[in-house]
Amino acid sequence: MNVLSLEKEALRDNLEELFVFVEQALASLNAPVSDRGKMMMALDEALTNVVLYAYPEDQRGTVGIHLRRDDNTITAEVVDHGKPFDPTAHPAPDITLPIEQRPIGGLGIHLMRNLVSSLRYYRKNGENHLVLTTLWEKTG
Amino acid sequence: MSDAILFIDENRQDVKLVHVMAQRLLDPQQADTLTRHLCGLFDSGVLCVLVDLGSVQRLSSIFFRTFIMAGKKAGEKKAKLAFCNLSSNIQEGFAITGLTDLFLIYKNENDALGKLAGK
Repeated sequence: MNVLSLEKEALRDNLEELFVFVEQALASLNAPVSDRGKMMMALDEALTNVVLYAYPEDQRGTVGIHLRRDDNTITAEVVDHGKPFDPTAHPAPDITLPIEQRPIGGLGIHLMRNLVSSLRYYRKNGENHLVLTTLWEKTG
Repeated sequence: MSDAILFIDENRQDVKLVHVMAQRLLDPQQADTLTRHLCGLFDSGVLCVLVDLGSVQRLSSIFFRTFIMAGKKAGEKKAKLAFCNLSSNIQEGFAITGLTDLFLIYKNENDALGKLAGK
């Protein structure tokens, strides 16, 4: 099975390379053009979260991204060695509040959840694994 | 990423039109810059800001934080914050996060300027 992977130090300066990799990998895996935007947006969130929040400021660490296609499914796995964090356990924000009562954060996980078919988390060997799966309808 | 021109301002009627020039709004530093700019406009007395996202193809939720902070500032100043030229993906992001209920969103800048001028 063809798996496209990239691992980088979890630094802000490396985000651009990671974003470009995701875009090119989805194209290389022939993900439907109509679904790529949503997948990219979800993965942008996942990668940014790791770079900004997974590691304390005085600790270096890595972020890995692995993408594979099985039939009509793309599975993306984001891996880091940072502190345990399960985004799937994060409560959904109240998006009906008026602007003056709206918290300014917490929308990224909500966005990820709603952009992919499934979002799964597990921790193994001191690593956070966030698995984002997008399934699309077969045509023809 | 942060060295490119992020936005260009233009005065149109009574509206400050902010053209966001980046194709990708993903960088936290860019988000800080845009937050300061939009909030600064309201602090300086601008009563209506229209943000043109027509060049933007990818946008992170860090920028939704920017827009909410600017929206709060607009509310404090009894001013308006509106958006136009959203791509379908960004429109979907706005809808998922409930931002479509918080802000005036227009198809394009002519539509926006026509309607904002009458408000």
